[in-house]
Parts: sequence; structure tokens; C-alpha cells
Amino acid sequence: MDNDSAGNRTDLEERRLILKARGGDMRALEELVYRYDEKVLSMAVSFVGDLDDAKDVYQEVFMRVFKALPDFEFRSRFSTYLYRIVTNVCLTHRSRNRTRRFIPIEDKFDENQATVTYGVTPVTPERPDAAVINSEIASRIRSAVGTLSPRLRTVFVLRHHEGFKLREIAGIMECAEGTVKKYLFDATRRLRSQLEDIRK
Amino acid sequence: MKEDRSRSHTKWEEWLELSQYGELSDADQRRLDVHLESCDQCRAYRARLDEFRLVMGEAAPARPGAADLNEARNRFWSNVTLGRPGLHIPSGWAGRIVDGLQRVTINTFPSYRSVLGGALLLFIGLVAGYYLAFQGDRSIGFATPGMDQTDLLTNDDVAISNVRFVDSGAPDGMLEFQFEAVRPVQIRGTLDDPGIQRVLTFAVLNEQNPGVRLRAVNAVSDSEILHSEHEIKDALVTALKTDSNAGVRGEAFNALSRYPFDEGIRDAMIHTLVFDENPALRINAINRLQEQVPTSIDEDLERVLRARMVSDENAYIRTRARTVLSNLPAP
Repeated sequence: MDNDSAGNRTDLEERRLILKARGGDMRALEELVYRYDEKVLSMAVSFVGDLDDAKDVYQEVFMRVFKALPDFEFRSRFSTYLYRIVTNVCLTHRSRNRTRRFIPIEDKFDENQATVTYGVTPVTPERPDAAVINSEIASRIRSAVGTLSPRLRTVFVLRHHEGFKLREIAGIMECAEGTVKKYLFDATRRLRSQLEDIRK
Repeated sequence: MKEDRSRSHTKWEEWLELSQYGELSDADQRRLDVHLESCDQCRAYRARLDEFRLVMGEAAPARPGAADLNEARNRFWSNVTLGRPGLHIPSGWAGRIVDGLQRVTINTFPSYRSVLGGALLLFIGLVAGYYLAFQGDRSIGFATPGMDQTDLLTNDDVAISNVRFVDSGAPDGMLEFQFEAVRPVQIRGTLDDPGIQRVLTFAVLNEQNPGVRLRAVNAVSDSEILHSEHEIKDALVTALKTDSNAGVRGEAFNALSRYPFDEGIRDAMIHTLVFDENPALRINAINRLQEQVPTSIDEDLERVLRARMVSDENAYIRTRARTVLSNLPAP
């Protein structure tokens, strides 16, 4: 089966789910939510940088979807419509929070080396300060991303952290793919300029 | 292959970025690879991009775990089904108006939310006032068909309230009032009586006092006769799904246990298993569903059980869902 027909079948199935959810079928709504909510939470974390804030974003996004579902007109894919809401809520959410909080870098335990690694430099007996240094680096990087304009930040986060294709981002932002490319180049150039000393 | 010098370095750099994101077509990627073999400047640029991506990748936010996702899900379903009654999707034309106004106030004019909310309340008040006044004119007539207005007013049981003078100074000496007259009604009968069924259904669904709702449900479940009337069964299903009081929901569950398992009851059990905040009720629901598994398992139920197996906060329910699924007959 080719991708198009598989995609069409998914669209049809999703359309049925949406129509059932509109009619008050909570199980259809549940299925619709569970299809996408992991991605929604992940996007929210990437945008707002704090897990608790991201959970708030999750609530707001799905409440908006829940209330707006009766008016969804199938002019775009449901996922595109949903991710557009996520992006808008995240951008608004950040602007509401004057104090930006960041989550720590994910820590990983390497059983073979018996050392805990944080970010860019491994924490070893020789470098006990690496965790602090890496945390500062991560904080700088996130601050730099935070200085980007909403459009540049949206493109960068969606492409770099969330792995969306440029075509998909263009759908979410309702603009041309060429415009998205330009935003991405601008974002990368600005970030590299701000962070070029990190690896030197 | 001959080196391609038709492009400026800015363009090659853009291609390098696109290449790193996997956004170049195969043909363009081949052109870029050929160019890189002979261009030190672009190779250096690619090395800087690699380093940049490495740094950015290492500082990527931690991915939320399954527990975080479950917490967010539970909060959402609680908001939808329990704690925020104003957030349900209304039905009918009146509901659509309310919902539309809510959406306008929330999404379009957040700063005017209070103003529009007030306007909405005023509108509802006016409509309700008009409706009550209209009912007031007719209320005497419908209290007891055939009863004269004077008979009604001389009856000691009638409670008169909210008297309003319509005309008290007419030259002909006539007086005109509007008022509310409420008369208690007492009926006696069995559950087979349509009047009794109607009152019980009303009590289950609309009574403000949870004690009265509970007694109404008990009246059905204590009856020795199993009543197949849809109205009562539907009221029990609605109470199980929506009553805010866990005791009432529990009694509704017990009353429904006496009915033969059908699609309506199955849906109510699934709804309870998925949405009820009370673990005892969820356990009862999964047990009732489990009794029916050999005959009525379907995709919906299987999906719900799989979700409960992973995400229910109660360990017993997770284990029970796993057991039910593992005992499914082979396809």
C-alpha cells in the first residue's frame, strides 16, 4: 500500500473520530487526544522549557480543541490544526511568564563507564564541576533561543527539537515553505553568532 | 563529476543546513557532495554546523516521561468530566449560542470576557423573566385540570408567593395580580405506574439534594420487579455517568447490575472505567466487563482495557486489565 492511500485512510478514520467526538462520544475524543497528546506535551516542553508549564499548556491546548471541535471545518489536517494551537498557546504562555524557568539537562547513567553524564561534558572524578558548567551552557543556549522572535523561535524549535519537516512547519504557520527556510537560516545564524564561544 | 561553480557560497551554506536536516533532494545532495570535495570553505562551514548541532542537541530539553503524560491526561479528563461543568459542549440551539459566546469571549476578546459574560447573564435573566411571567398566567389552569381559579386559591395547600400588582387603581374597582402558586402533589403506586416512573426519573436526574437522588435510585434497585422501561434504565445510566455524588453513582451501578448486559450498560461500564474518579467504581466496572468478555469483546473495549492497563493510577485496575486481556480467546 502506498503512503498516499494509507494517509487517506488515516484521514478518513480521523474524520470519523472527530465527527463522533463532536456528537459527544467521549471515547472518540479520548482516542483523538491520545493520538497526539504525547507530541503536544513534548512540543510544549521544547517551547516553554519547564515541565509544569508544559502540563499547563497541554491543558489549555486540549480544552481549546475540545471547545472548538464543533467548528472544525476540515480545511487542514487535524494534526496541523492542533499543532498550530500548541504553537500559539506556547508563545502566549511564554510571554505571560515574566520569570522563565528551565528544566535541568537530562541526566543519563552509563553503566559501562559508571559515570553520570550531563550535557556536553562528562562528569568524572577529574571534572566534578562539569555538571555545573553544562547547566550554565544549557541555560545560555535556552536564553539565546528565547531571544529569537516568535517566528524564528517557532521554526527553530519545531525543526530542531521536534523534527518537523519544513513543509509541515509551513502548514502549521500558514506560510510558504521558502519563508520557513529563511526563518530557519536566520535563526541558526543568530544562535551561532550568540553561542560561538561555547566550544572554543 | 565536474565541479558546480554556478552557485554562491551563501546558497551552498543554505544547502549545507538543509542537508543536515535531511531536507535536500537526492539530486541536490549529490551536487552538494561534489562541491564539498573541492571547497575548503564549505567543508569548514559544515564542521561549524556539526559542532553547533552537537551543542544544541546536548542541551535539548528532557523528554516528558510516561508519568508526566499520565498526569496531564488525568488532569485534562478531570477538567472535562468533573471539576469544570461550564466546559462541556452544550447541545441544541441555546447551547450553541452559549458555546459561541464563550468561544468569542475566550478566544477573540479575552479582555471583554467579563462584559460579555454579564451581557449573557442579562440576556438569560430577561428570557427567564419573560418565561416565568408567561408561565404565571397559565399556572393556575394547569395545576389541576378543570379546577376553577377560585377553588385553587381557597385550597390551603397552595403556597402563594411573589405577588405582583398588575393593576390596583382601575376606575371600575377591579384588581389584577400576578403570583406564583405551588401546590404539593402526592402520588402512590408501584414502579409499573408511569407517573411514579416519571417522578423517579426526574428525581434521579434533577434533584438538587443528593440524598433524594440516592433514595430515588434505591427505590429502583430495591424493587423486586425488574423494570424494563427505557426511561428508568436511561436515568440510571445517566446518573452513573454524570452524578457528582459517588454514592449515587454507586447505587446507580448496583441498580444497573440487575439489568441484562446490553450495549447501553456496556457503554456505561466503559465510561465509568475510563472517567470515574472513584477507584472502587472503576474496579466494579472492570469486573462487570470482565464477566462479559468471552461474549462481547470488541475493538473499543480492547482499546480501553489496554489504555487502563498502562495508565490507570490504581495498580489493581492495571493488573485486572492485563489479566482480562491475557485471557482473551485467540482470534
